[in-house]
Amino acid sequence: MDIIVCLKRVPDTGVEIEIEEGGLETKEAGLPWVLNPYDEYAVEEAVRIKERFAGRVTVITAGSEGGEEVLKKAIAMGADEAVYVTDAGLKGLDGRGIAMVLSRVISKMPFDLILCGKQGTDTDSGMVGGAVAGLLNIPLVSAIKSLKVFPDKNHAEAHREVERGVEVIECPLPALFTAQKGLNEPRYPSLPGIMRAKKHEIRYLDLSSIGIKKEAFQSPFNREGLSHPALKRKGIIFKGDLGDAVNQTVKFLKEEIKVL
Amino acid sequence: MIWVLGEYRDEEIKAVTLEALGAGRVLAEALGAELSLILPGRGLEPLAEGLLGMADKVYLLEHALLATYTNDAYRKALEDFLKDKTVRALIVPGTSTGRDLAPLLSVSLALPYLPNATGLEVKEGVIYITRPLYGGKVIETLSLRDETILSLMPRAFKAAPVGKRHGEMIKVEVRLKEDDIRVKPKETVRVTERVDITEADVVVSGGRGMGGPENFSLLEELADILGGVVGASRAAVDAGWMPHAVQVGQTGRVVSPKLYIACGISGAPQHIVGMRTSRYVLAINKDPDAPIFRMADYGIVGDLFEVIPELIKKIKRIKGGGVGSLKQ
Repeated sequence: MDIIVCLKRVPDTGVEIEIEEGGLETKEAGLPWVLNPYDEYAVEEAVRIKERFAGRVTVITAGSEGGEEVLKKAIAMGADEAVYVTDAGLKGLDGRGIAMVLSRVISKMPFDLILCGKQGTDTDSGMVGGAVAGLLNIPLVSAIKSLKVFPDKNHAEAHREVERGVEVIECPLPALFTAQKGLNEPRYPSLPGIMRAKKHEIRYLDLSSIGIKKEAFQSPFNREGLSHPALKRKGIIFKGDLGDAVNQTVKFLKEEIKVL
Repeated sequence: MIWVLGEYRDEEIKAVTLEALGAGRVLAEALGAELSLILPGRGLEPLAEGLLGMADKVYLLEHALLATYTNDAYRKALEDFLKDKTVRALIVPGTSTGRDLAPLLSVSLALPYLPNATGLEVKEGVIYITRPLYGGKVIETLSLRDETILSLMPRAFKAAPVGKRHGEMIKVEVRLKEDDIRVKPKETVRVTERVDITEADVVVSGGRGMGGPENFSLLEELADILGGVVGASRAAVDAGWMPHAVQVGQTGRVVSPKLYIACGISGAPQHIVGMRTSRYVLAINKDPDAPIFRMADYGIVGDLFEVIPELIKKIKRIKGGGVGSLKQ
């Protein structure tokens, strides 16, 4: 099976995000960058499918900088090939533009299955996976929590998370699936994996080599400003006598919050 | 024209659609445009009848193949219907359906897609939108001059008031065939009959301090008497105590209930972003220095296994001897 996984680098979810002076950009210098957590599930699933049915896992990322690290992480986890579309023209590109770039590259490769994270933890847009499926005109199953593939039948069955439950979905292959948390437990890269990733040669592409002009990406949105959310909390904290604290709290629940 | 794609469940319109109609009306009035609701499905007249006070036009896209949601059928039906229409904004539901469909529609209709709006404003004909980035650690304001697909954060907007019945119901012919549908649902397994965590008025969440899955029944009891649902922190989900569907935080759900009760949750940044938009926050934690107290309106420093039973007892007393629940 030929499996493709699309990756993104995002700031570690454990850190606070600072805003640059002028209020239009976030501070990127010094941030700890990681492979998008949802993409990690996608890589793990791809590697497991390859281990079961044989085949090849190719990981791709597109961006203006720092893509090597996430590609190497995926190689260390067991991916076979890494493609990095990097170009100054990709800076600040929205999900639709990234999807255009990725789908252009993927359309020139053999594939039976594409896996993506369901969204990046930076913008939470959840645009790229679905748009790649739309542009390639292949079936899309989003936010999956389990996946079974039947390569000899060109068929797959997935569980998709919906409100209050799970949808059991069937579709033909090739298809694109986006990974929800719970799909699997991503492995830690093994030592041989890490060594292999160090030596692995990434294939580099830029916009002109894939035949896309920068001008194709006029952002439809103008950023007017960034801010930190205002927090207005009362901060009334009870310590000491439990009975008194509970009485006061119940009074607030009844009189102020009015949930009783 | 401002368009809203409606979503319903068990023949009842979803709260997210009422909120989209509320926000859509604000846009329509400010831009001097009409507000239209699109309902795909089958046998929708009774449902549409009740919404004619909230939209100027209700378009029924009726077809047997739209009776159950599939992205292939919805995409084709909406593409065919909207491709020759003026779309200033199309608001899709901020639900699993909307998140699945919107990127496909964005490609089909060649429109950009901006999800998760928490604020909307029109100034001099320009739409301004605020949305959270990095799970809500940063708020971004954007202006849109062109046509766009939007989704709204659940509970961020007021539902449309029920106005005088004035709308027009229009049936649209839909052409679909069995072959158009590649992605097919075999069945839907309902994991819970409870209100979805993003739609609940009260969310009672537990974290590492709960000590184990068996202790969540205590939170169930508190949630029940408050008419709420139980959530969990990432620590509790990663430990396998609770399902991911109820995880509050950056890799889980963002909730904005009227009351959020955090029990045994320290308050890591990735959790805070999932609950910071709650109207009121009550925190219960042993550690007086837990960051969650900085996010709380009311906090009790104490052992949750003592505090919560006491809280349940007093609430039951107030409600008259523990009669029933207030579940919607």
